[in-house]
Amino acid sequence: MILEVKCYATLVKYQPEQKDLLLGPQPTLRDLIGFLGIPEAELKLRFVNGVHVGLDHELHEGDRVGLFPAVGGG
Amino acid sequence: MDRQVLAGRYRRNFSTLSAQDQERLFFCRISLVGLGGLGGPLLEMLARMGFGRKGCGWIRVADGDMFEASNLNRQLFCLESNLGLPKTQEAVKRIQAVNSEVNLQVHKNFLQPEELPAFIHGADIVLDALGDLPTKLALRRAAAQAGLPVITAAIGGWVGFISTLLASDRGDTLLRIMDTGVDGAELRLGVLAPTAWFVAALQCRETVALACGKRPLFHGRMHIVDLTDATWEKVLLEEEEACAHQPAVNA
Repeated sequence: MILEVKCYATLVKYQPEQKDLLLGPQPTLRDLIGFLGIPEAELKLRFVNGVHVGLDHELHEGDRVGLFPAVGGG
Repeated sequence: MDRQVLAGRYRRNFSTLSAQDQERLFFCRISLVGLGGLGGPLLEMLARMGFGRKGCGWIRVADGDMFEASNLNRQLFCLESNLGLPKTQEAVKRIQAVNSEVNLQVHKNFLQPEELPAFIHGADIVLDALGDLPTKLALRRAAAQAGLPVITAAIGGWVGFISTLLASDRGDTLLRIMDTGVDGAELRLGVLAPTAWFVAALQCRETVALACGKRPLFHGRMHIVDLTDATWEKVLLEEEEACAHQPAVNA
């Protein structure tokens, strides 16, 4: 499935190199996070096409996915 | 003060600001917590814009910290010559030098959660320039309880975000998302001057919008700016509320 994934800040190390990801049929956001190996505790905000969604959100071809950790510096 | 300075000070604010807008800034009452990477440039921008003029409004700031060498990389008021000195004291000196018309009130200690209601009492707008998540979240709670708008921002490395919570909001999704007791990314990535000053500028912009009764720019969404690749994402935060009512979500 072709996805546009962006991992922010400390999650950059999980950024996939390719857009075409082998996720199986009808993948959810949880499947993607598992595929990328991101521990759920490290992930605070996850958004698809600019909307904050739950982990069971179903992904579709071409979705833009953003994965964001806790950030609190000043 | 020199009459020419007085006459010229706000000339270049016009006509992007109307005379009425400028007057609203004069009369605005602001409680700003934190005088570090975000709070320093934010306070200076507020002063230059004309917020909290003496005899009209005020700017109240709180920070119990002293400047140290690790602040030199980004904190506007931090100088080699004032290391070890209180941030509030140095802020007063700087703002007095920049705009002596500002009615600046300082709280020289770290605010305890129980002190937050008194600190924000009477304000029109609460500004969150704190550098740690637990206190940021406590401030958002206090502002919500007081029925005051709060403009929150945070940074870590090249990434920053800003989001405005209004008194009319029913919930605080941002608070729920971030309130998990995990260390923020800034502890690993540090905090940089360009990110801090850029995001502080957004906070000042939003403060002008709220003070002038204009539509807020960063309400209901979390704006994430990434200076690694110059991307800007506007994330709608409310959708999760709807999803939460569906079975199997967040199970």
